[in-house]
Amino acid sequence: MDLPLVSACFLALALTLYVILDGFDLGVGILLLFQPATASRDHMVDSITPTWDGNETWIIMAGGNTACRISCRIFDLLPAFYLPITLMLLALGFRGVSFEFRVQSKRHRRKWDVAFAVGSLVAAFMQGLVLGGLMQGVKVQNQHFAGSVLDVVHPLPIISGLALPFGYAVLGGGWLKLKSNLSLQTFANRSIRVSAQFFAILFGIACIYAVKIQPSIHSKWASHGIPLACLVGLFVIASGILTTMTEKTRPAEPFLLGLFLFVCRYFGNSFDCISRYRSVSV
Amino acid sequence: MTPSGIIATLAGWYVAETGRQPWVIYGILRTVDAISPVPAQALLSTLIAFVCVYAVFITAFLVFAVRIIRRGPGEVPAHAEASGSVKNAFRPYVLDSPERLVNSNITQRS
Repeated sequence: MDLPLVSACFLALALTLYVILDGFDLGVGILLLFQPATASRDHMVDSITPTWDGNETWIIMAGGNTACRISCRIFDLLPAFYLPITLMLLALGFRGVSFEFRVQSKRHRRKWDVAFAVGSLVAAFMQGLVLGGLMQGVKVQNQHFAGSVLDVVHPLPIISGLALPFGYAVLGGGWLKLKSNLSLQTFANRSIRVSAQFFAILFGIACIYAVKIQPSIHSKWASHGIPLACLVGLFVIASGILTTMTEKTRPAEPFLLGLFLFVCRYFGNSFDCISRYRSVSV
Repeated sequence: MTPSGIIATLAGWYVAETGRQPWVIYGILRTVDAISPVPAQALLSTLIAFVCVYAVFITAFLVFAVRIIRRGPGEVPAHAEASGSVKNAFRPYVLDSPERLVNSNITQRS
């Protein structure tokens, strides 16, 4: 094994762990917006309190590794994604302080919960923008970034940005179903069903759109059609099960299916992104 | 004398940053070569956003800190319900203790 391959594997590991781990607690944060009962919101926050900061640290691991291991390219990526990454950091700041501040304030707890939920939502949207921006491609000329910071304000990144919060909400709903006994089960089931539908539809649109506008993604489909079609098939089956799940579904099942959804999506994306990025930068 | 430590730290930082110019890494990388191609408007707007957001955070922090100091020691803190225990993190069904279920109005919702 050579060093670049080891680095790429480690980066992939850090990113996957981030998406899986912070995915569910961002998802729980987003779902706070739709939970009217204060006691239930307390339960939801309690369920992620012990682990959320550890989960979020994986993005620092991924970012630091990108900087150290592919430092020649991060100087093109960071200006391209300057706005979404900065806004994501601000949103994560709101989330982080709301964990501590919401319990200090009885009268304004609802407001801190809204800050928590909006912070989670914006962070998820911005991560989706970055992902869509990678699918779209980053303009590089003469080894230097040649695009604009507003390149992410295009249909593909925006659709991808809208899709990701729903995906995280699936994970968050799965987590709540796993962690709560009675009081949150109905809420968790409903949120999984609804958000799985939206996630599948929006992400499907983003993928079809990416194939249409990006010749390199198109050519990947032409050359590796069968494995990619298998991934799409697995993705569709998993979302189908999630959208039709009932109260009788075993508690761990939706969470594991949600994770599976993200793994499918992750492999499909890395396929596209890596090839796309290479073809732009050469 | 209380803020002198903070002032000394900040002053040292300013001396290091301005004294190093025109280098970012002394003798190796010049500031001119290290600047990223992000337009000044984008930097300015995000800087303003950071200042505003952190102003909100520090205000809330001071309000809560003053409240906790006024309350003094001895009372049970309001956030006792958040366990923060890692042991509970990967165990299912920890959220609904019986007394919680009585207090919650969600069980009746369909």
